[in-house]
Amino acid sequence: MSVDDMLESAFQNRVFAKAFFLVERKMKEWLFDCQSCGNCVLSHTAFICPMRCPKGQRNGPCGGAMDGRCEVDTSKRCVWDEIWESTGQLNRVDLLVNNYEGPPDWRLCGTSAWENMVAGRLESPSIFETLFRKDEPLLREVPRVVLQILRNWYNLITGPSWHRYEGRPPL
Amino acid sequence: MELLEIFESGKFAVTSEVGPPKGVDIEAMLDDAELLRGKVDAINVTDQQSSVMRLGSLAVCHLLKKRGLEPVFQITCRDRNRIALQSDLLSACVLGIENVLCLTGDYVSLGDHPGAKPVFDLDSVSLLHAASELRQGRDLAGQKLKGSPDFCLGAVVTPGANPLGPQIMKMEKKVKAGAQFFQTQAVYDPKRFEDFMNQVRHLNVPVMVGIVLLKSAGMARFMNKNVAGVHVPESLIDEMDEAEDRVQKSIEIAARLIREMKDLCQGVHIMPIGWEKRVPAVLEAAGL
Repeated sequence: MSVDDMLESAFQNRVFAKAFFLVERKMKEWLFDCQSCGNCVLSHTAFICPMRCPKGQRNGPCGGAMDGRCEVDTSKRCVWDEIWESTGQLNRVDLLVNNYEGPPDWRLCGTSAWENMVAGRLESPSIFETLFRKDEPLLREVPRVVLQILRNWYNLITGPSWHRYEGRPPL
Repeated sequence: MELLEIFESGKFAVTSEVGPPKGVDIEAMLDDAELLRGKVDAINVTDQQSSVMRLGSLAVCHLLKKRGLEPVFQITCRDRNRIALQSDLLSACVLGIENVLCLTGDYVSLGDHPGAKPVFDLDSVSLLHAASELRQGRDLAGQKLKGSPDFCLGAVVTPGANPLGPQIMKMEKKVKAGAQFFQTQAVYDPKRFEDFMNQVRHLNVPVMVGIVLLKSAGMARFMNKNVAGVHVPESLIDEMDEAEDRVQKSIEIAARLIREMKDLCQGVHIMPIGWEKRVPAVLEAAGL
């Protein structure tokens, strides 16, 4: 029985499902500034939530960012600038190019992405394959992913520091 | 003639654009379009550019088509969800509009209704995907259509973006989603454009270089500071500064840029931004 199968049967219990979602939502909010769209693509975007983008761009940057600043709120860094950096560090640029991200199913907004994934409501292979690349040795991949999540989180809480600089930010 | 046929014939394609007015007084806009008759292959009609509420792109495209001009219907994801976008694509088809340029669109807060609800249900890539699906005779929900539309699908790219990597990544996704030609953000640096073209050659898709007429040195400085992916070199700013006749200088610079980049790409898209009347002179000076 795979992890997905076990989770799927566990989600049949609604008390478990609800408790799981409460924890999932808080964890993802805390770690990724998750917007709870329920259509999670975090693993493709190297664990930066693209729904933080004001335009909700899931397939790439909009072309309005200047020197890494978001055009809508220039005090913020463009989410796609972060994604590009993070995918580079995690060696997942090919996942960006090769995965067409369809528009989110808004009925799933505010629901558990893990439950949606194991129930087959999202187009993704399995929880495990989604988190870790299967073409990489697991012993290397797991610590890399954990480290990358922590690195992204550090960037998230420290935020862009360019308000202290004149001219171009030191990206 | 739709743009695809121009590219296939190997001819250097030329497009320009008109912006629908804020209101229903369309005479001036139609006059501007009339000046381009016979000089350009198609005319883009902007979709509420800079998020300013205006007359719709679809209606103006229809007016141009009725007058025998070839429109490029610009469609953005800012104001419509997937139902309305697909419906407007079907509407375009029955009005005889073949060229469609799919964009994400500016954010609402940049325009004159900053408090409006931003939609962005689709993005430019999924909009291209939707249009491709319609062409195959089904919609985004997989439902069969009664008669399928045909389009020549365009998209945009910013060759001067920093970093350029994610731009090219998205451009590749746009090609996969069905983009058949690209129009670019304004380019003023032929060397940088050449580097860009070398990086996207493998996509094998026609690219039309974007030219925005420089109206003054001040405008160039403003764009350098405020417009993403646009860089006007200092030498051009100095040229504009020293020019006695700004209009003549502007035409000369645009024509020179076109001549320098003509061999690198498959067409040019001229964005006059208020100087529509100067476009014919630019084309003449560029030998097009």
